[in-house]
Amino acid sequence: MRTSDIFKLAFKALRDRKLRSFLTILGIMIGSAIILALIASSSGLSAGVQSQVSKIGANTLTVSSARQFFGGGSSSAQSYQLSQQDVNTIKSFQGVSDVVPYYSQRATISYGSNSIEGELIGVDTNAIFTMYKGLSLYSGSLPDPYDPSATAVGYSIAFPTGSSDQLTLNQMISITLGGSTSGSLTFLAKGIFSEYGRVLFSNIDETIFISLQSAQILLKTQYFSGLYVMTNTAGDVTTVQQEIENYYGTQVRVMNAGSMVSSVESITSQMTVFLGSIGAVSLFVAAVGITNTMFVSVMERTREIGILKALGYKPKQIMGMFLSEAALSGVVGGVGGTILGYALSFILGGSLSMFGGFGMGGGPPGQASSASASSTTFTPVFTPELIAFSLLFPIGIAVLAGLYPAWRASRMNAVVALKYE
Amino acid sequence: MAKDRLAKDVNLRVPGLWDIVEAELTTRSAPAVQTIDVTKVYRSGHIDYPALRGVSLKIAKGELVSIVGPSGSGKSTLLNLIGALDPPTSGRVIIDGTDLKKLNEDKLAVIRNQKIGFIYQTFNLIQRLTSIENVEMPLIARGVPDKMRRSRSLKMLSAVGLDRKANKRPTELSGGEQQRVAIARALVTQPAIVLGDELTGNVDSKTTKQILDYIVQVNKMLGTTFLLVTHNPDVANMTHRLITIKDGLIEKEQYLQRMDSYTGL
Repeated sequence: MRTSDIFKLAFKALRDRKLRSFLTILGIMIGSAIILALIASSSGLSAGVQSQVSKIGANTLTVSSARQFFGGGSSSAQSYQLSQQDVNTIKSFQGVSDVVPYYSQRATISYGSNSIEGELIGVDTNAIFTMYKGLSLYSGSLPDPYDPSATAVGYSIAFPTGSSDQLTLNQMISITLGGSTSGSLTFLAKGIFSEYGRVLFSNIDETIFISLQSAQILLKTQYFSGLYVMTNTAGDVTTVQQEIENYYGTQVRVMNAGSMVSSVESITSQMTVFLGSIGAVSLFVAAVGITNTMFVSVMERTREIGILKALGYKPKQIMGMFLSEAALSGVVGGVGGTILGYALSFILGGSLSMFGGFGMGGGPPGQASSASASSTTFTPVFTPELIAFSLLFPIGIAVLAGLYPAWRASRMNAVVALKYE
Repeated sequence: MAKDRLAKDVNLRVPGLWDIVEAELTTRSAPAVQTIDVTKVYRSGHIDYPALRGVSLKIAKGELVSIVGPSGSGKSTLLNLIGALDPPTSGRVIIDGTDLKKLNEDKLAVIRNQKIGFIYQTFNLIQRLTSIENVEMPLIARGVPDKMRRSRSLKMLSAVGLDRKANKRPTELSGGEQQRVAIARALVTQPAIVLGDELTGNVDSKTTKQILDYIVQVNKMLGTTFLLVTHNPDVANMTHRLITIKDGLIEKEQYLQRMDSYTGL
């Protein structure tokens, strides 16, 4: 018997029971789609996190007041505020090469007909390129740290999507602070950054940079939102973090890129395990479904099996016919599941990126989640191995599930089968 | 002794040739069907039901034989044993020179496919396949390529006058038509032996006549051996030999007419 004939007959048998075959295949599809989507988007997420870390640099720590991360609940408690004195203290620690204080605040940025929700960062403008590795100017220059009205803006602020009105150099920009009752302040655009994307704390493309002094005046405070601490080498990061934590106790929160990556990755991997087990369970259920469908099919076709035996089909040929029905279901389920999983991973990607952005804001958490469509930080990763796996795994499962019913069919007694009503 | 000397002589010239010659001679001279003292006992719980109690018969090639007997006499059981569908409890079944006892499941399947054709009272067509697909089924098992088996099956269908219904399913055919499809399926492999189990039981008398005429024609032209279990005296009357079975034993055998010499092979 030719292999092509076995598959032709199997295809015909599946086609003759369209609805049942479809439902069986649907089960396989859902299982494999979930597994594919999960693996693709969680590896996409960790790749995204990795790239953000590389922008920050492995020798960077951030120090912020503990208050900022625990929100309004502890606002009544006396919370520690970072000042110039802390900058000097930390600078004196072993292994620290530099400390850059910054202010950060949500703000509405308006010019022309545009009004954009973004982030205001006040920092020594000369330190910007040290803080954000690979960031470059699209046009203009970095603002003079001593020019109180100079500003440089992120790419999306200068070129907002869906607006024909674009920022030009030396154009006036007005900034209204988020949550503030004071009116707006006006700045001059001196520089526009190239597209950069998200780093762990902010979306640089939606950020406006002003000098530390201007921010101090604008925000009417001498306390910083946070400090960037740069160590001599990446190896110093943990010891410096230890030093700071020993000195301040729980008054400040110290984060390093590596620990953020691991915390994000532990969230991701927990989610992957959780959702992955749902996928595995659904694939298992699908396998049981195949076994069940096959048993019903073998029962229904008892007489047909008897006829096949009388016509001289060998047991292994009969087994092959039933197995290839299962395999075909697996093929269709695998292909369908891969397509479905591909689509699903982008939907899932959106919700995972919210997880990824959790707790990474420079400001209070409420303000940090600036997740707009443009700030989705990663795309699912599909490797050839993953695609191959998602195509072949369902076939394997289906064949395994069909093995026993097919064997039963092949062992059937011809005389008894022919009498079956 | 003379044969031994001849064998030695032939083998000296071409080693192994004699074995082939001998096998060919055995097959040619062998009866189409031979049973030697076969019994079949069905067991249900602790009770044995003997269906056959020692049947020995020889059916020559090209013979048209009918088997009659009351229901439960063991006719169908005998047919299943000869058809290599069921092993005997004891005794031997030899089909075209091959002793079935020595064969495993796969080899038995090959025997069924190559040497035997079945025709059943209930037609036993596969309902979800068309006429031509049903006829093709035994050729698919054999691995005959697509085009070849299609044209052979179509020829076979037109031989039974159903080429115009090749793409109809059994449910769209009358009983007589279904039985003709089943006959086409049984004959498409050009089997040595065709076994019929009440093949006219579910068709009208006009179709019965057509079918019987066709069987006689095939028997004469191709030398196909037919073994037909029947209740119908018309069927029995057109055969060469009538075997009556009762209580699992051959009660009597009657030769009804001489086998015509045929121009076959």
